[in-house]
Amino acid sequence: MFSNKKINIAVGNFDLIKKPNLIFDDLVIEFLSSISREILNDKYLKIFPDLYSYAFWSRKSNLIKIKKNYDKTRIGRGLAFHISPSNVPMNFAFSLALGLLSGNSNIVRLPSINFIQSIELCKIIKKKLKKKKFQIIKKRLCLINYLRSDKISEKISKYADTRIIWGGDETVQNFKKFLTKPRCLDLNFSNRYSFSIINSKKFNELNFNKISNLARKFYTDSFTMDQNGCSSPKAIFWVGNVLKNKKEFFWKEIIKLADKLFDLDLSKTSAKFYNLNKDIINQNKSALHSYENFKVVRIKIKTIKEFKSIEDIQSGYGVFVETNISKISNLSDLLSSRSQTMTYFGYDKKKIKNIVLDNRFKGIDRIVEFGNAFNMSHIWDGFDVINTLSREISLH
Amino acid sequence: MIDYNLLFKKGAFKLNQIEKEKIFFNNISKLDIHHKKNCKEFKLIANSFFPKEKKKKLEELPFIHVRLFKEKNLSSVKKGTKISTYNSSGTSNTKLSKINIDRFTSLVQSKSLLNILMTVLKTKRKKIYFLESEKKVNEKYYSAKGAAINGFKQFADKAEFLLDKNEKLNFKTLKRIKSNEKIIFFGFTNMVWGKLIKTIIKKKIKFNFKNSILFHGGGWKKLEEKKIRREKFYRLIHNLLGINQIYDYYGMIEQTGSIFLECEYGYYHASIFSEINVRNNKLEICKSNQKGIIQVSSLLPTSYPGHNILTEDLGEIKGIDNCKCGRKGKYFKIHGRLSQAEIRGCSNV
Repeated sequence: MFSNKKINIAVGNFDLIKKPNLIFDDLVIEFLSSISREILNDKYLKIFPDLYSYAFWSRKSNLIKIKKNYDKTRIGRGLAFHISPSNVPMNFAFSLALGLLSGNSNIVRLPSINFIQSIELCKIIKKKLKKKKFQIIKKRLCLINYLRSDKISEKISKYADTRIIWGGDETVQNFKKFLTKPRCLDLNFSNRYSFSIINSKKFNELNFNKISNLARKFYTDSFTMDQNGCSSPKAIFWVGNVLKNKKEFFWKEIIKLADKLFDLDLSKTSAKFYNLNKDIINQNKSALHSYENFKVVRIKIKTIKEFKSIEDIQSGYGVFVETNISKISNLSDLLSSRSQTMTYFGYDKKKIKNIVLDNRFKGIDRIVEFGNAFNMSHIWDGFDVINTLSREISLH
Repeated sequence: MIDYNLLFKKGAFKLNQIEKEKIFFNNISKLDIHHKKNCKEFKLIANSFFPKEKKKKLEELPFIHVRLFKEKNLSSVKKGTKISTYNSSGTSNTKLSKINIDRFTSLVQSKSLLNILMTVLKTKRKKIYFLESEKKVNEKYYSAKGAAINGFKQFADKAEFLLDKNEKLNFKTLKRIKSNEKIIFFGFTNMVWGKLIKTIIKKKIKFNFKNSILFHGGGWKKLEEKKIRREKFYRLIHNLLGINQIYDYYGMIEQTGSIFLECEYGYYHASIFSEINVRNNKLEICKSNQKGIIQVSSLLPTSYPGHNILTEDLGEIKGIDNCKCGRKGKYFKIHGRLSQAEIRGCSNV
């Protein structure tokens, strides 16, 4: 159907089942969890935290837990076309799993960069597909890669019943150009930004040991993907009065971790300095930047009013804007619909959600405890992916 | 503001590092104040990034990223001042640098270049031959190419172009040059290789311009891709053209005039008009023989804030005051361009 010399098929083939599947099909769960087991039991693969965390998410017990949230009578849309980002190695796996669980046949464009963990996962998928019992699954997936080509993307788009487009604004806009079926439903993942809030009162009560633990969690959230991920916090809001010595200790711990773990090479240093230059000019305001070793740059802003927007801060590679606010609802005017993840410390998450709802925040799709910013979920960016990729048959 | 005549009198490479630093810091501090006062963007960065305490050394003064000239239109002149905007000759998919040069900056650039190159030229020459096509140069007057050619024109009474309008070597012009004439050749490094040396090899002719001098600049990228090293390149030039004096230089459109001239031993030298520093991944100053990002400082830019910039080139300082060539001050090596940072994250590249 799509055969083209420029398409390289990594796993499966284009001979896919046209009929949809029921959601959370038992065989699909078995297939995904057998892959999960294989990864979790492999000592060598443990060096890839992202692969490991995918495997952990797709454990049988977790999939069954997710299944319980859904009405079993939902059915897939048909053919799902996934466009995974070129630089997040495991994103395609997550996308494919959700495509299968929601009852679709899937064509997945793999990342253009050949990450070892992606290759290893493809090998495992291939191996599992050889098993007799998974022969039907084989007709539900086709993993391909091709050099950026509008022609190919357009052709596959024409047949898709749903498209899952990762990769930010530029990719989303590009795919909007292609004609799709009138009923084709797209799930678009555009550019997002994220930030953290800390309950100063609770923070002040922490001993230095606990602050150190908190700093480690914050470090993981921020520096996974060099702070360029859409869930990486770029700003910290201290809610209420924070003790200065404890706050400084928190940052010292982060700097210590960055010094040890963050690989800031010269190219990244240059990019970081350039982004900072540009950000300062675009903000049209000087803010005090302090850094002890440039791996961690803090931009201190006196009051939230001086903040133009968080999304203008593109720096990445370890740049944090921070300011004090008196209460969470102060953020309501600052945050745009692009704000995605709010990582928090010292709050009851349900209470924060209520503040967000009561104040009619334009953004915030995820409220996540410190340390879990990159945890995967079937609910992402405000979408219930399973529901979006499947149909409900209503009875009246 | 800056007493340039005093600098011209001191000589480009005569001051030892301690003496030079005194003069240089004093003058670049004036430029720092000037640009803070007259360029909003520079002031924003300076005030944000570099704490306000009194600066004692060049290393502490604010600098900006060279790529900023591609993104923003930066200038430090009063409204209504006549300026010419020079563009870097980038490829079609990269943005061009915009450098705003007024008459004063332009004059100082020319005089400084004269001051630097006279250390090897000694006297003005009768003719300079550009390895360019006149047509192409006229089309790109306000470019790095145009700026370089304009700067070098002053060293000879007459200028000629060695390439025809199709950028092919004009043999007739080349053959007309008498072998003992004291002339200058100028070309971009890749052009000297691609248009001159390669063509001469193909045609199997040799020349003997023994009294001439060749200046070339613009980087070794294309030659390195073909694995042609400096030694081989210079040997070919010497053997095929008979040229004995060959000088490369490190320079950029953002700091026209205050070029870093390569010496007879293969090192680039900072002159009295410029300074070099190398920074590591934490933006700290590297010691000698440590590779890092090159930062260049120049006393010439007054109409735009290009006096202190972080480049995208890699290099290392090789020594101070003790180069065998006798030039004082810092000397260094270049190790090519920084590669593009690998961007991880959710966006597609």
